[in-house]
Amino acid sequence: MLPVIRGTIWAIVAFLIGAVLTAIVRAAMGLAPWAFGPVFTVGYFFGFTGWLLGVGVWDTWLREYLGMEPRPFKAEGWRRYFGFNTDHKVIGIQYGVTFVFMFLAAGLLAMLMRFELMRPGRDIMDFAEYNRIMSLHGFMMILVAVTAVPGMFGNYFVPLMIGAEDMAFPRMNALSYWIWPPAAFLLLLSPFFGGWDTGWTGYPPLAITNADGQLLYNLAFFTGGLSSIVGSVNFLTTIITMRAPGMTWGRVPIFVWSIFFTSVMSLTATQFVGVAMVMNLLDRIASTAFFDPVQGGVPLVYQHIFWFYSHPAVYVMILPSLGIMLEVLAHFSRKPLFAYRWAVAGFAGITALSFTVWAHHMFTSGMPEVLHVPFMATTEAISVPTGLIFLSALGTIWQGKLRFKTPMLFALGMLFNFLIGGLTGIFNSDLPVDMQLHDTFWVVSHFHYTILGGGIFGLFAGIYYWFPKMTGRMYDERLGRIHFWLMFVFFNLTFLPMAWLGLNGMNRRIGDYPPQLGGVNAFVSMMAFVLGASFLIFVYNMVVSWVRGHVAEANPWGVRTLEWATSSPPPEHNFPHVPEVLGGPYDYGVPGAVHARV
Amino acid sequence: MSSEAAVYEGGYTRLQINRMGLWFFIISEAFMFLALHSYRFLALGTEKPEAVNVFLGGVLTVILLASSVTAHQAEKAIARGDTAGLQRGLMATMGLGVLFLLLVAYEWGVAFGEFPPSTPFGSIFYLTTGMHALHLLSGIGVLALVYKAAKRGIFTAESHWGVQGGVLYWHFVDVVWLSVFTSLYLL
Repeated sequence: MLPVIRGTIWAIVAFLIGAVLTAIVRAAMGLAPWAFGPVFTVGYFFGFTGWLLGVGVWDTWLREYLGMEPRPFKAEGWRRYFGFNTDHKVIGIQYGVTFVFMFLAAGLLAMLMRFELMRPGRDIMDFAEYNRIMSLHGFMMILVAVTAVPGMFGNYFVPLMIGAEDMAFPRMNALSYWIWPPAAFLLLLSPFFGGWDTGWTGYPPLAITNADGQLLYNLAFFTGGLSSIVGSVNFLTTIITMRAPGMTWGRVPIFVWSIFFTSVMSLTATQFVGVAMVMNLLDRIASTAFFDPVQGGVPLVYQHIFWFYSHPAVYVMILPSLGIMLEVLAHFSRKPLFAYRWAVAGFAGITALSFTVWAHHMFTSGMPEVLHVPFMATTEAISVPTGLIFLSALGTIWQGKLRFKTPMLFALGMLFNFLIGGLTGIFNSDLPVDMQLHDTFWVVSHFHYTILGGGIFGLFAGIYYWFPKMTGRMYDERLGRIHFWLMFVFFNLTFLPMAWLGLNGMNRRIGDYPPQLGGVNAFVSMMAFVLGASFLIFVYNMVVSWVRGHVAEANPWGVRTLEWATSSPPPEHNFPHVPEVLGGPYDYGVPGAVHARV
Repeated sequence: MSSEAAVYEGGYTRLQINRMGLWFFIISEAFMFLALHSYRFLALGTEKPEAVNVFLGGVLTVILLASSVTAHQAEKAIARGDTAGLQRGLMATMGLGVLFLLLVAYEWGVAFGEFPPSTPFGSIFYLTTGMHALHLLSGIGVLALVYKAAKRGIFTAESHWGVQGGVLYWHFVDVVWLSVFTSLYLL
């Protein structure tokens, strides 16, 4: 039996056991037995455990701890993606397919929103419905942005780039992926429980009094956070301990550095959002008083705890993509990565500062005014390490022999978009201006410039760059370029006017706006539809090329890093024998320079 | 378990890699308790109800510190190759852990009447002590697995990562209790 099917059966059985037990305990305490909140929550944790055990934790892991012979998952062909496979390359592809699919689904929700916003007033949905769709879109995209790049490329390429045969903890790696399906299932289920309408941030007190869908959001966020933590333990240990001989810290490819610092943030900050979710959930199902002002709770503290995670989280979204960007820029400019050490210092600086800026999301929240100026200062200071990354990027392409292949186009597009994202961010960090801009479409524009224009463009740069390595086949370069130009042009035509809309008083998280903004909104919606349609080309290109593209050579780009020094796709243990690293990975044009001997 | 001495391509042994992974996990878990404490101080400052039983909290602290000593003795025993001493130490540690949990259950039963979970202090008190108790419970589970493995005789003086990992986690849960005791009982 396929492990996913067994996992599903175990999950259903365990869910029912948990739900019935809760009902019995409640009845014994003299309460109404079938209250949705407690019964579903306990049932979910039982079901979640049942799922993990059924899908492979029992077979490959717990049996060993109990002194029985473990039964590792072995399968060939498509079946190997549907079980507890500990090969980091399989896990990378599992993550990739899952999150590209999630990205497309959440993108469809955005299309629905733009359809509603095409004209002022109510069109295809009421405003409550709009907010539920907006919330689901936002939360799914946040999960994609946080997880897709580290999950897909971090897992696949960190071990390859440092010359290791796998991650430090292969079983934990598989666990980090198989935690996701229950979270995705909760999201699919949430519309049947009324959805939720708080946006992805889930602020109380609304979040403890609205429809039951909010509970599913709490559980899904908690579940996803768990995966993030498990994954970052693994990344940090792998990068520290599994580097091949000679792979000193000064020779580690920049993408590996970006994953290292990303993991530092997800390892620590994610616990805060987990706690915020648990508190919100208990306020809803157990009548606790954390954030309920009626019982003396303090809703503002939720925002502090939530943003202590969620601001570092935006750097979790962008750092790995910046790593891909620098990687691609160096290889496709045929030049050494400029100011490598300063770029690493930039990542380190962003990571350190990211823990000190969270309350800039709360300038209008009524928090103590004494906090305003310090948080404004730390927020603006973050542009300094970010500037180091830009310095490195610009210095790398300066006078380089640029090869405008699709990955390079996406990397350059990301550089351009992220610059606009950064510049619009300065206005948000500035207290007096932010008082006016808060909760307008200006913020929507800024955020999408950084995360879609930056993070997701980086994701696509990575997809095209590593597609031949991961699948063993070449994508269609012409379709790739068409996808890039459509996505780049219509991304800008969609989101630049949104900044103008925000300045002219269009609020976010409301399915309506002043009628005089109708013309620009109609334009934005048209552009957004073309942007959405451009992904059809991407999907077509990926599916067709994966099935019958040209067979890719080991190193189609002529790149020096280690993942290209083995076959496409790499064999089970990556390298025929342990590589020996002799120099830096980017010494293009340096006479006699060698990165590694494989 | 002899694979502990295996050296990977990076020059680290399996034992070192395991230990590093566990330390990262512990750092992460510490941040969870930091988040709980941050609610306590951001929402409530240092205020607490009179009814918090500092004496009982002190007894709980002593029990946990004693359990850390027995856990340490268990680890020392297997380092000498003394499997019987290891089992005695583990048994004592788990026993003290169960005693701790029973006292916490008693404390909750009394305190529910004094400061129920429907007050902000009650909320954070039960969530923090509950999270800690959950960690302790999982610690007992881990030590029970270690105990079972010790009975099968798989630990030797040279190779006993299972014991080391379980005991390290146990110490962590104890240290966390000191922070819980300070923020919810003493201040």
